[in-house]
Amino acid sequence: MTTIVTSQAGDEVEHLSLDLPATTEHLRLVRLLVTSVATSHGADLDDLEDLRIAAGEIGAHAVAAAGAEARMVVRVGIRDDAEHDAARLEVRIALQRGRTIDALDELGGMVLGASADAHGVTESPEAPEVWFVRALRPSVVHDPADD
Amino acid sequence: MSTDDVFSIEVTGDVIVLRGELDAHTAPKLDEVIVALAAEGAGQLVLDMGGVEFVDSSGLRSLIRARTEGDVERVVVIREPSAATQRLLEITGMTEHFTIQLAG
Repeated sequence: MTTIVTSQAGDEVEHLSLDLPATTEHLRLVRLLVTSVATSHGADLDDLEDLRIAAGEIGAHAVAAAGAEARMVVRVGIRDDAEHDAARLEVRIALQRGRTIDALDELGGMVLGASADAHGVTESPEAPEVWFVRALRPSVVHDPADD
Repeated sequence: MSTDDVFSIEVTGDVIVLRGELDAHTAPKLDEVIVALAAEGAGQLVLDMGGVEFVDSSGLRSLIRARTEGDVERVVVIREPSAATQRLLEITGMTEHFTIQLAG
């Protein structure tokens, strides 16, 4: 079963959670979820490609750590970053209690280092997470009035 | 739509034509092909990646495996890499490890 929940909390404009089986078969869905949210917040094409890469990377890492019969919760949040006049997208993938997520290997870390502004693994006995954040540059829309 | 619907592999001689999304779900299928071709003694592999819409580090590991499977250092040609393939090769600094054949 796949569950989607949307809500608002604190300074977060919006967040969306997806509870789904932690299998490689569902990685495409994770990538689609993240790029869909980013698209709806005006991400440009370069952002979308990097977000797809980063989402796929943390998704694959979570699935590899999850083991059989496990589930994962993908949480996509958007916050306004007034200081940089941009929105900040944060993606966190949590596993169930008792699972352990190791640090990313060199190649995975390299991919996330280039495609996200920050990334990491948060150890927790309740719900270990792998995550990344990235600022979104709004698409430039051509306005004929500017000509 | 399952991931299987959006990924395909065609093999003709030492040329492997990939289409779709190469990730942790689909890369094992490419690994199987690479292992089989290496077992047949392939000294070079050509990966046609013009139709690859997405690659992650799992896919990249398969490309690296194509170079070294069977304890042989072979030439791997990446033919007409898509923008997604080029992007991943660039950000990981792996471009120089493959022979890149651009379109045109």
